[in-house]
Amino acid sequence: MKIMRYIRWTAFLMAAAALSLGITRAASASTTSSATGWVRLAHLSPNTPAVDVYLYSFGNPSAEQVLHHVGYGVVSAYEPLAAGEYTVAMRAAGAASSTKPVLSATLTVAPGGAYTVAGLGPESGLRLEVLQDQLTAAPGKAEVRLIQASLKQHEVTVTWNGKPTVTNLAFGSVSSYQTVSPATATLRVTGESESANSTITIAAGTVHTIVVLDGSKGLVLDDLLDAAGSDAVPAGAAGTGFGGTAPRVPSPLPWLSLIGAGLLLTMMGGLGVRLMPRQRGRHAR
Amino acid sequence: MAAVLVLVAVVAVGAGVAGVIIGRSGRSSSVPAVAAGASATTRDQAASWIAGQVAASAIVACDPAMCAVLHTDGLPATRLLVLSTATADPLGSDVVVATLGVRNEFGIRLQSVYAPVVIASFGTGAGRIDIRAIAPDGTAAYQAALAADRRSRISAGSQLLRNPRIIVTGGARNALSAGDVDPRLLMMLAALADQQQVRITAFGDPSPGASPGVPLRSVEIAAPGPGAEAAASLRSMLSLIDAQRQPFQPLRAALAGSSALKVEYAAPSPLGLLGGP
Repeated sequence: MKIMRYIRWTAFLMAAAALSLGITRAASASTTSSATGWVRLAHLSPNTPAVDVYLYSFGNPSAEQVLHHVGYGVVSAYEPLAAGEYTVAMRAAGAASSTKPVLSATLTVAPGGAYTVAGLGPESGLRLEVLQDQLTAAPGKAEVRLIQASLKQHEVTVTWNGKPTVTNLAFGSVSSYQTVSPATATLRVTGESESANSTITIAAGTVHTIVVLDGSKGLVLDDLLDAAGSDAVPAGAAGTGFGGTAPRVPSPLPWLSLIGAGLLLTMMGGLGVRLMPRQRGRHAR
Repeated sequence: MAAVLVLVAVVAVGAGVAGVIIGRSGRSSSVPAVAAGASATTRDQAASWIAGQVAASAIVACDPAMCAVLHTDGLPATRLLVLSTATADPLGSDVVVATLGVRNEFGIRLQSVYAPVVIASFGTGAGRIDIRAIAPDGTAAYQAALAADRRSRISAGSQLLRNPRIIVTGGARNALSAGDVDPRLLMMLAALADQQQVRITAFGDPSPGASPGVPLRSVEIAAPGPGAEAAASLRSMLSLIDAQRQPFQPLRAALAGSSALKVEYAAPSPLGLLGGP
């Protein structure tokens, strides 16, 4: 009985703490949402070592964001960022502390806007490009965009559901969004010497970015969900590439996991269940 | 094929410049008729300004006499596009040196089609020499980009003015709020202010006779206070600046003693670096 009481008390305290933290976070998000946009980082330069990326706010030094150790194929989750202008800089991950970040681009964050800061091209010509992400699709349709990040295949052509969608997309370039009909179908990417297929479900109202990557055994396709049908907030945790380092950026997912775990503990504690399954947050692949 | 064409072009430019140089006995000697009207002093001033202020990667279009002077001032032939009566236009260059001969050659099209903005000017009257920024996509597109860039600079400058780590005095404050500051400086200042306090004393204008709206390309930053700590702060800023690559690598960046840091970017100011409001 003592054990059960202990479990109940523990569950109650965890749930309370989790809810408290979650509410704080949600409130914070709601009060700043009108003046924030969303930013994620994508390292899509195959032969470039991992980098740290810095976003320096023009108007508010405390709004600086640092994304650590982002390797090839990794796409961070969307992070809220105060609207305004930012200088984007980067430095090699793990470089000596005396190494200074190199300025690369500017990012203008509009309220409600979503952006991908993508490292594109080969290491010798690495550039950070700011891509404006779309959050809405036409009624009953979906939007798909392609980023060609395979250095081994200089150009690729993409068919969706058997229909050509993007043709001869060069390495380091990004297509515009294409309007497609929702379906679960085969996405086929064909390069000069390699091709890859992936069965992907594209639902109505969703917005996707498909990234073509060099994998150890050929082309790899990464399906990023830019928006899941809401015009307010992008689809939070974007998927990431294969084998890369999971993003070390702060994410609401741990809070949500904690809330879920707390609630579950509360329920299970109340029911007298002795063994509690562990909730896992959604992490980058 | 392309390499052959480039080689031919470089050889032709080099030969043209060399031919003009061979025909000259000194910087202030008589010059071909195409440069008539400009005094040797004016030519030398313009050439010195180009050699000292224009980006090292920029291609300069000029008449044979002006190109010869520029070559003497250290510009390699590969950076010179020699304009002659057979040259259809100055496109392919980044700046054009508008001597009387070049103005006569291209007429009103020089301003209305190829190069609408003066980034520096020397001399007066017919002997005046203007250095103009080339509009590669035409005047309309250039003016639109210029206007958009100014709006972006105003927005970015206003944000910097709200940055608690940036201390700005009167004239510099006006320059920021009016969008008069080069976008590379704005971006650099945001990065510097992320590390420490930045005291801006002045933005400079090393572009005499420039058209209204041409951005100020230099800045003076004062040490945040007296003593070794302040000097170390300036050195830290300088090391960040020195680490940059093009287009953020400045033309010059140096400490003025232990109390100030001066940073200067090359002309012409690039358009479209800032995202804009």
